[in-house]
Amino acid sequence: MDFFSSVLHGFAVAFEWQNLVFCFFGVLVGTLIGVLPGLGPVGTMSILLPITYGISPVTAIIMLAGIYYGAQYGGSTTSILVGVPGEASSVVTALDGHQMALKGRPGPALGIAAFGSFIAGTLAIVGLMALAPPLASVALRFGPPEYFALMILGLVILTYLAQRSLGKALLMAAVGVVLGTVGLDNMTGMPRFTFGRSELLDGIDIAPLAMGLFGVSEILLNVERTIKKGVIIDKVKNLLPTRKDWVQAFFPIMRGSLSGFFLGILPGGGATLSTFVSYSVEKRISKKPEEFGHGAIAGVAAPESANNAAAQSSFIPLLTLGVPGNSVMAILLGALMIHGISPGPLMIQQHPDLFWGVVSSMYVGNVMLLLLNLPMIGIWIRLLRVPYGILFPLILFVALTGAYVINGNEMDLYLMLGFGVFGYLMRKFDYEPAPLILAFVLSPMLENAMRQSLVLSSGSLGIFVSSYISIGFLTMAALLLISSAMPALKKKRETFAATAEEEA
Amino acid sequence: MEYKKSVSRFVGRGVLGALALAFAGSATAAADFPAGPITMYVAYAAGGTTDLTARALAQNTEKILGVPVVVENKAGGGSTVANALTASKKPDGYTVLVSSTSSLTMRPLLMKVAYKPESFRPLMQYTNYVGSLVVNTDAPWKDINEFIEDAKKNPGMSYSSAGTHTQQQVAVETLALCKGLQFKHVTTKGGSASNTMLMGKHVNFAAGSGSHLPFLEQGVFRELLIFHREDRHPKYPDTPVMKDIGCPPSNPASGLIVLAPAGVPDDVAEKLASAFKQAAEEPSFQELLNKFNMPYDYKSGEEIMKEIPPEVEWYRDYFKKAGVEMVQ
Repeated sequence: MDFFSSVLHGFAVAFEWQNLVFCFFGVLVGTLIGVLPGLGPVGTMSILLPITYGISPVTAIIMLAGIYYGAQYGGSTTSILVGVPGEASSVVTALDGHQMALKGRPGPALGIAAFGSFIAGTLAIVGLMALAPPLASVALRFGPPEYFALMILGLVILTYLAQRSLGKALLMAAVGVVLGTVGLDNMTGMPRFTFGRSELLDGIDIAPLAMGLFGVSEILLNVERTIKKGVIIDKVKNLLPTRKDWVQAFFPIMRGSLSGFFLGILPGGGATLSTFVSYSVEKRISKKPEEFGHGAIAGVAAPESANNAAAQSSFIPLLTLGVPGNSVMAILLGALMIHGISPGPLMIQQHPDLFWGVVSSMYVGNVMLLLLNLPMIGIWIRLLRVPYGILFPLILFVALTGAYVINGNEMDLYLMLGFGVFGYLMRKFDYEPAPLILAFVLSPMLENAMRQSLVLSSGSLGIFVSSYISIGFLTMAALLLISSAMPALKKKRETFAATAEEEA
Repeated sequence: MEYKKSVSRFVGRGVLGALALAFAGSATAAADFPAGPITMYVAYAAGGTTDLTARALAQNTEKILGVPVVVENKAGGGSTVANALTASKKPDGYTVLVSSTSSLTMRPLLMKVAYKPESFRPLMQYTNYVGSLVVNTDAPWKDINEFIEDAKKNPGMSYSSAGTHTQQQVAVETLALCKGLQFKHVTTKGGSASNTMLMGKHVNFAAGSGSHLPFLEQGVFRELLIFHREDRHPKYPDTPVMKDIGCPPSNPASGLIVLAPAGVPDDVAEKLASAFKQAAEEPSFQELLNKFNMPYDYKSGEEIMKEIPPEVEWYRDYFKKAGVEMVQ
């Protein structure tokens, strides 16, 4: 089958009525759980897995995939309107999106998020169709040293995320790295920092950490503020971004799509990582970096495009290599195997219906999402327009339920509440939670890649500069580090000058 | 004061009630069992293949016993979290657990856990994991003998595994001990990460854990040696086992087992065991195991009990030889 007939065949499969119905159901559920903080796609997909036993594998995967990319759309709504990320992948969107909303422009923020997601989704699907097989083989060339270099680059990017103090950001990153080492040491199988608690053997889950730091702390902060000002923006007019918005957002959307697409392919990458990376890239190359964190439209457009592109491209390693890159893909792998399909390099030939059908359905799903999220935004907002007295306990309830259902572990509840209080104090003292989370995500991967590399090289550090891929990443990291040190020095000089003036 | 009195009266009544229930329970335990829903803890994450087999087993058992069997996932710590939790539950037959034999035999040697093998009453085993030595299809070695010869000449060939001290990784080391070979072990986060590492040619071979089997069928990988079997695998009759190359058997195969807390009344345990056996023998369940490339390997509770002490000794001996620090 040549490319075009494959695509046509895929659309024929996607437009079968039961596939359309389940695709709609998937994106609807996805949007809903995206809007509601706490319950994420992983939890939802595991809960819904049993209902896929009775339907065909193509239909099942179409629905489950819809939940995943639907959640990327829905997550932004809560981030922008409430300032509490609906999903981990919308954490960054909350930074500028909520600021735009507070400044009276919630409509364009939501609009650009939805259009950016749609454009990125479209581009990613085209990329998925055209590039899936060759790209998969590139991803295979990432061995331990290449991952190590990539993670180093990721940690360096942390310093870029620093909105205020670089020192505080690095301190929080250090806390994140330490939290990331809790649990069984992957190399020796020995427990570390578990204080004898078997619940901690698997480490701290990202969900209670992220929901505590961002969600619970936000609620605590809002409880303080409620009387002073309305935090939830409920009047949304003019969803269409202006011409000026489009001009400012066009290139961020393109760059976000691109970086999201490529980061999504890497195992261990995925939607959340891509939002951090694209945001920091935009902040870096922007002519007005000081606008970021205060309602820059590029700060909404880039990460929202990136997470959607990544949500779609993360199917590439699963569908072409049988390698699940993240936990969502691991559940999809399980779903495929229930139906007796083993993903792998030969899957596209053996099950063309599945590959082309699912990919085409993503396009259909993206159109549905655009309709669901723009003209019908009012419905989703109404979900959030409940009075604070009801909404905050409700968010807390959903968050607690969400944290519990992932592992059924009571400890996760205490962790989430503990991190909530910690996050509240962090914000009070002007520490940012984002570097902590990113370092937390990167640290196990970094450690693992480093130790794996050193086993392979029998302890020689030369392995980290033995391939072009890792040399490239390390060079990039070094350049970024140097250039980020310079504004820090500059800022320091400025502060010195300012204090000197004050004292004088 | 009034409050305190009423509380104590309430508690007193509760105790009496509980005693009455306990008596009633012991008199007609099996006849009335089960009178309510049964909780099945699963020591693995939701959505994984192990979880899916447990859920299918629960579904079939529901039909046989006529009460709901509610699955709860308690993943973590190499199954130790779920084991500790189940060991702490009342042995009334309303709590069962799906876990692995190695969580009873191997894990407690390496870390402090809140249970012993004696904390459980095994009900049955329904499958086991068979490990193998896996290479890429285009690897230079035609068979295991060529591989061993090459490994002798070039010490330090690298392999990936699904984790340190997993049964497949231990099996590779038993081969190394037997033939005097030396390998570099690259541990990964699980079977599929290990497969990727081999596919990308970052290691020379891999300790196959079961998730590599689809790649065999697709012609991406080849198996040179199968570990945890006495005789050759009926599906892969051309692949040698340890005996064929003159080595003692590798470590015991870890099985997926259904456990109840120790102290379950005998008749209740028997009723449960026969229900689970019947559920596992149903064609739908057999078909599911087949899809996941898991062999059906039934063992009764008594058989499992008998195999535990020698298994513990095997691992104790192995860790001593390998210089791994043990907690007991």
